[in-house]
Amino acid sequence: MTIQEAAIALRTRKVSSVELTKEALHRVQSLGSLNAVITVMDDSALEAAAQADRELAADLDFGLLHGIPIAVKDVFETKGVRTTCGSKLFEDFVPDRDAAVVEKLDAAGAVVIAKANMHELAYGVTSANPHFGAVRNPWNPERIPGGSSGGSGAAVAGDMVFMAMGSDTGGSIRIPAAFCGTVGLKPTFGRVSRYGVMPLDFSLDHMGPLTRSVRDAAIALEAIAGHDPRDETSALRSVPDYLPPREVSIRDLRIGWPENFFFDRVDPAVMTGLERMAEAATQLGARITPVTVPDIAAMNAVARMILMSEASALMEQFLDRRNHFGADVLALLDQGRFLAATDYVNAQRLRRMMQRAFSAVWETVDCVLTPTAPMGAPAIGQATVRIDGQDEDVRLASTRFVRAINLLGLPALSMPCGLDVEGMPLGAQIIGKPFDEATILRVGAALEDATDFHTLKPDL
Amino acid sequence: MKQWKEIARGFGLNIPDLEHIVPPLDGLEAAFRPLVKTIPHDAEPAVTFHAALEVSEELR
Repeated sequence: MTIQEAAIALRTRKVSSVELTKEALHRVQSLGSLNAVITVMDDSALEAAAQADRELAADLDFGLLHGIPIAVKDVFETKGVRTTCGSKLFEDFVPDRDAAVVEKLDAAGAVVIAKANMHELAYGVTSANPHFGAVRNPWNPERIPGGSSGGSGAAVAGDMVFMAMGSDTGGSIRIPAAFCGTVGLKPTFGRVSRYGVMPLDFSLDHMGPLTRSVRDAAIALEAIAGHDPRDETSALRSVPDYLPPREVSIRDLRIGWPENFFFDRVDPAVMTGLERMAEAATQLGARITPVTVPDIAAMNAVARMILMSEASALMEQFLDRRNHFGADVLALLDQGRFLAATDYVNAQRLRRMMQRAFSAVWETVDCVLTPTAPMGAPAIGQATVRIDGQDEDVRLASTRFVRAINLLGLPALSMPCGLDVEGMPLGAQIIGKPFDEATILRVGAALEDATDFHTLKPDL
Repeated sequence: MKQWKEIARGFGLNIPDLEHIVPPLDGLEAAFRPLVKTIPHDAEPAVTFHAALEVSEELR
């Protein structure tokens, strides 16, 4: 069931929010071995669900999220509920405020049932959290769910919640979406407030939803987007209607098909999935347009320079407590301490240049279709993956097609595009112009309607 | 390549497993250093300071 379907069921009294919430809490408990959540909020969730039922019965309708059980990554501050950021440093931290996103979801009547597990400090792609347990992929518990929003991906793929909020600094929404077979949306930088979200990187962090359908992602974005004066980078632009209509058209839309970088060294099943997406788009009247993109590998290097500098600066005050960190996160934080201030400033200068260079892409296409990751989810503990005869570090391979999009601040959607030979989900990425989430959601919804990739579910 | 051990000593960084982090640092250095030479003299960084706190980067 999607949010759209549940919203209809709630309004026709076929189900209540309390029933949906009890079922969600039951799923969280029965699938506890997946380690998808850190904190379950049973009491407050059931209270909120009962209130939603009373409001809907009184025709007080706050929108399609009203009464819908959701989760938020444990990076979002929740008033009175501990917020760990997946870190031993914050294992007892209980905020006295809600993140702006949590405020907005509450105002939309959503029912937060849990804080989702994640990669420690949101700094990694495996979600093998040393403090709260490794998150396991619902498609195969021996595989990673991706990260850093791995618990959010597992909770949505495991049908525990209809939507889970994630954060994305170098792919952390889109990678778990791809590895878990869900939809994941990273909005434009500035579209969704960062206020009250424990930061990893001030200039690369983005907040967005993981959902069971593209239209559900649109519903969630509409609820969480908008200006927030408490976040200096928050955009003043108004929030448009994002929800694509039932008979959505993409006729004559120009969908960019990269001629360079994005199809180098990918699993053949990824290529097949993307080709099927392109065929579906063509049949719907869109124009698949070959496009050459600027040097994405260089952008990845610049993004890593910025991330490592900012993350290490942020965490420097805690680095004397070395036993509070997992080995992989500590290694990254240590690396950042070696980087020169001049290199950080030059990385931000290169970022501006690369932003201008990439803007030329939008003169010929309306969006760009790429793989999200070059492969399906690796095994827990696996250090390298072999793609096209070449071994590659799991983190670098997983972020190869997504990290640069954070540098550019562009909106990007990941959606299912099939399974690999081992039955693990694969993801397609649709990248849009700044603040043009509406187009990528429109394309995603049209492709979802025209294919059956989203109907594939894990056997749980 | 940079002498990371010397840099660690110079910065006073007490990092026990230095050998483990040298290869990724070398990799980043190799990818990043050539890019610096391409920056025009007048290129501004992407991070900017706003004198008025309420002013947002995206004013439209």
